[in-house]
Amino acid sequence: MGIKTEKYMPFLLVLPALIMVFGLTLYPLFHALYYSTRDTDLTSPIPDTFIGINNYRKMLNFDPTLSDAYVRSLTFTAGCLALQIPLGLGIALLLNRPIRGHRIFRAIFALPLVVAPIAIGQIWRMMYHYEFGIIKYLVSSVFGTSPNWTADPNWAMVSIIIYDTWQWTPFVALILLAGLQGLLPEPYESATIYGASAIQKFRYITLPKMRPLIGLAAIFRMIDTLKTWDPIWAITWGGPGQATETLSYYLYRIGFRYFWVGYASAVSLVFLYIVIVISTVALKKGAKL
Amino acid sequence: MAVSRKTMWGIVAVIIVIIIVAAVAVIFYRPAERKVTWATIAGFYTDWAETISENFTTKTGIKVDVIGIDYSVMYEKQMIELAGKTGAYDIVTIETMCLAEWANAGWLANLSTYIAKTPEADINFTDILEHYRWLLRWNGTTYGLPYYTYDQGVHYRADIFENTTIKQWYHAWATTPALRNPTYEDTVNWPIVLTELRKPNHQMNWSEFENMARFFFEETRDPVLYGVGLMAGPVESNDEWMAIMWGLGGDHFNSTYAITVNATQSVRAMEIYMRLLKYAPPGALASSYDEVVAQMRAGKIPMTGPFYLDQWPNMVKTEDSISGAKMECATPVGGRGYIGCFALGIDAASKRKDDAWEFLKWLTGPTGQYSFAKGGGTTCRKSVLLNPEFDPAVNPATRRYTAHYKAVWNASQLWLQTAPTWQKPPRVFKIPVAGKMYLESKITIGAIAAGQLTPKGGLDKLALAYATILGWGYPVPSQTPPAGWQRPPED
Repeated sequence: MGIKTEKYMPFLLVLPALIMVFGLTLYPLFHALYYSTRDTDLTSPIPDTFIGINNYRKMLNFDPTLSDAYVRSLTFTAGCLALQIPLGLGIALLLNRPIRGHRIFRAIFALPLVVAPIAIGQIWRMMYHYEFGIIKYLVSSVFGTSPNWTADPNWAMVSIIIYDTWQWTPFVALILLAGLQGLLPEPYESATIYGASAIQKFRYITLPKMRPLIGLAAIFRMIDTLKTWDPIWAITWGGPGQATETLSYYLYRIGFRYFWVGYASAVSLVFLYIVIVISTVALKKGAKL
Repeated sequence: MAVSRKTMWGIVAVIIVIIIVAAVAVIFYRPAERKVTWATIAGFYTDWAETISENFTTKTGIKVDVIGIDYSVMYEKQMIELAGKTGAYDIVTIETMCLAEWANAGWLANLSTYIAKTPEADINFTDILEHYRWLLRWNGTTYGLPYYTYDQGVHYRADIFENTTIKQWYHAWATTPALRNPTYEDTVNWPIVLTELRKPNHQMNWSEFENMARFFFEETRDPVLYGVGLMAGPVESNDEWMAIMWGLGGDHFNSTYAITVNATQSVRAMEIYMRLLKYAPPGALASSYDEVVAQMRAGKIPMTGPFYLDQWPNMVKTEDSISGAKMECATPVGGRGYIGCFALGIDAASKRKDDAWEFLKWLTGPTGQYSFAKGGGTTCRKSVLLNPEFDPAVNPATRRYTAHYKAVWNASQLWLQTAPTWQKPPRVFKIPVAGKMYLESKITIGAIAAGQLTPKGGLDKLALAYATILGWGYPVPSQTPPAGWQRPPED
């Protein structure tokens, strides 16, 4: 290999990755920034014009739907985290025990992760159905009555949270299981010698050592739940009314149904900044754990 | 593993050759056959479309590539292609509420010129139901031709309505105020109500309908039977509200284009809808038309609210699932239901407009629509709707597919007879942002139905949303058109 080729080879090898990053991340980002300063409406025959920060002003001052959507997104995220982290940890603890066929159990638990949310969301919509849904049947069998899952605005968000928990708790469980399997046995042996109970071992050994991984799993899930769109689309369409219209669903509506590309760009950029800020803060906090 | 310089350049050369060959193929490849693409609704419609397209191909040699798209995303997908001027779909499926928007954006090809140079026998333009000729015209030009109507009416269980015991019971209930809730709106000519859906000379009003729903729900004491089937889910609740609003004489806009979705009749329509919801089976807030059909077939409802007449072939299957059941359908309560159809248009960016027109002309023309009717479709042509071959009284064999044709025809005539001139068609259809307003109404009406907003509060919000979409002022828009606002063409 000649000196010249050797000199340029690293750049040449990195080039495809750079093109991908620029083409799929940076270019769309700058394009969105450009459109966020324009009144672009794809359905309008009138050419778009530069409007400065008007889209941002509109968003901050005069769009009550947007603020409602933010609240719903945060509710959804909080609900998902509150269920998925404890459940994921519980499942990880169970799978960490030396039980017969544990590999099969792990594979079964991981199954929800590999199905497409849109496809499985449609099935869940049927499962929640008030007339013939199996969830209604099971809940009625136990409690005598069942909520009107997707048709009741008070339960619709709960329905989506339950679905998301079903699909993503295995992800949390797998991360935490990896952590559990990396824990050294010595502290547990010492605790056993000193007569610590199982709960005490969990409280004083497992939990402190697992905290960074729990934080990491929570951050992953938080970023993902803030962006969730597909199960909402498949199960409730953002309804009833606007009961499950989260920020990403609202973005879809104004961007891909109203084609207000300018305004949708502004909203999505602000959403992106918020996700970045929350993630950065959470990552920093997580690093200190 | 070390890779020699020679090998590396060899790989690069192969990749470059592949890219060049692929690019040349894409640029210069021209299919030998004549072919058009048609974006349409997946499912039953696609099966039918493929069958009917094969007949067309046999006749003309033009292949039709049917692109079945799920209805829930069909408009987004089409609009993305139309806005991008890709010409990916030569023929697009248009909903009446979208036509003004698409035509105004310059996305659709002018069909008037094609119609003008087509022999009258092939197109017979005046045979198309008159209200669709209004709705598919923009600024004096036709941009779409209809092939499938889903105008609304009412489907009901005639066996229940004709049941002597129920009729007597109803008569006693209806004529004895003490049996009813004394606070209930009592504006009804009670003795005739129960049978009136079947009488051609009496146009049922919404008070009468509401009382019937209440009677079935509360008084029959049948644990299975509810009062009325409603599609109050996120997709069609606005169509139902609109039907009631129009039936009460209200509209989205008045004759001067002021927004009236929060005016008296509109609010009353929503209040009636909310009361009807109490008589509907649980789960109505997540129901679509499929669920209402299922409710009918399960014997849970005696009648629908404002419902798509084209669903007759599905509704009539109730007679198979319930012994003794007899289905019928009627014109909409209040004389007006949601009016809508699927129409075909040609993408202005299509490179095969002439071939697309050949298909469009054939499918929406008298011959294509006759074939369509034979296959169970609901046509928009007078000559087919009134063809004795499809009249169950003349040809009972067609009852399961075409017994609703009479109601479709009568519903269209009711619009023409009852609407004032300025409302022919309702102005909302002619506003270039009607598609967006229609979507907004889905959300708001859904929210009101779900109890998240009051009828008045929700409709005030909807009026504000309409004004915002129309761009009538900033930050708080006005409900009346601002000076300088360009009125849509009235044609």
